[in-house]
Amino acid sequence: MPDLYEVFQRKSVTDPMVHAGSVEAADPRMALILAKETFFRREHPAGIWVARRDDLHPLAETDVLEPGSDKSYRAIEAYTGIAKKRQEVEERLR
Amino acid sequence: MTSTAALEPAAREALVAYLLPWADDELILGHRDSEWTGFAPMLEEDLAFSSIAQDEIGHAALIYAIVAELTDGNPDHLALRRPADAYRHAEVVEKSNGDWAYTIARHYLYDQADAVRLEVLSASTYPPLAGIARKMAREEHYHRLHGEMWWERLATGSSESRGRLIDAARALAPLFGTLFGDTDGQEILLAEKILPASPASLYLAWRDQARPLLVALDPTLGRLLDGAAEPGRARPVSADFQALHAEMTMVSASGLGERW
Repeated sequence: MPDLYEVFQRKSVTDPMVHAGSVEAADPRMALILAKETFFRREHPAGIWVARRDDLHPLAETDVLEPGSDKSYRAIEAYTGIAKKRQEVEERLR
Repeated sequence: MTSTAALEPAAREALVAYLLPWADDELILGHRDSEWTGFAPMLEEDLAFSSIAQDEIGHAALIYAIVAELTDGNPDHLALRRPADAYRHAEVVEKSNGDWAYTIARHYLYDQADAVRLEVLSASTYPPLAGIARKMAREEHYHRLHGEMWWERLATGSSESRGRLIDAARALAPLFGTLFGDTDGQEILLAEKILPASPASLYLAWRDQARPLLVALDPTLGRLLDGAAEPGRARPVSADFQALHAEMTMVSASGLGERW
């Protein structure tokens, strides 16, 4: 019986793999061969991967992915202008 | 290197006699493959096999373009405006598709014949021919991977799929000799290395690839390849081909014009 395979591609060898879609196939080889013409007739990626959907393990408890209390201090945006602030403090202390 | 202008009339004629049957093979096989569009075993395969069918018809177009240049003709007319009895394809490509196993077995064995031919023609001293051979070889690699995958799957899937593949291979193997028949004037092409190897030697190379595949399915299939390469392309128009030809040429013959 066929399995579902998730198909991933990247534009160049230095790009990250990105999900492209899924195909039905009897084994990984068939999935790769069929994915090529199913998704890449017009595009020409640098590489493709397939993985059996059953071998992927989604986290069921998606609530833990949501933010709880204010965690803005963990975000890069919270630290914009630091160099300038530091310069001002250094000048004040001189 | 031989330019088109430098070709002697006899070499021109010999080249056309060699190329036209090959173009017809590619066109007719591509047309048969395209009959699976909408009917292949699964959606993904429908896309893949339709794309392969387009590739084969594209390869036919490349060859017809050379023939058209050599004969001051028109590639579309060569492909679609000849009467049914003027086509010179081998019988093996015009056979009805039958089941999926027959379709896959035919295409895979044909792909291997094509690979052998393209490798040799890539070294042709006639640049247009070497050029299209290299172009076609790139696409044929995918066709072979696809064919190998299906051949393997049918051979190992179930006793029914294996039995159907064996039946298909038994029916098809003896028909492949006519793909490699001699063509008129080929000695001129061989002397000038426009054809770097004779069709008969390509047939032997193809057999070396096909035999292990067939024997692995059933040891008694090997002897089906013992025959020699044979001409056999001129024959009465079959009912199968008459129907294919009528469908294939319908739009071109409708007077709606050639450009869409």
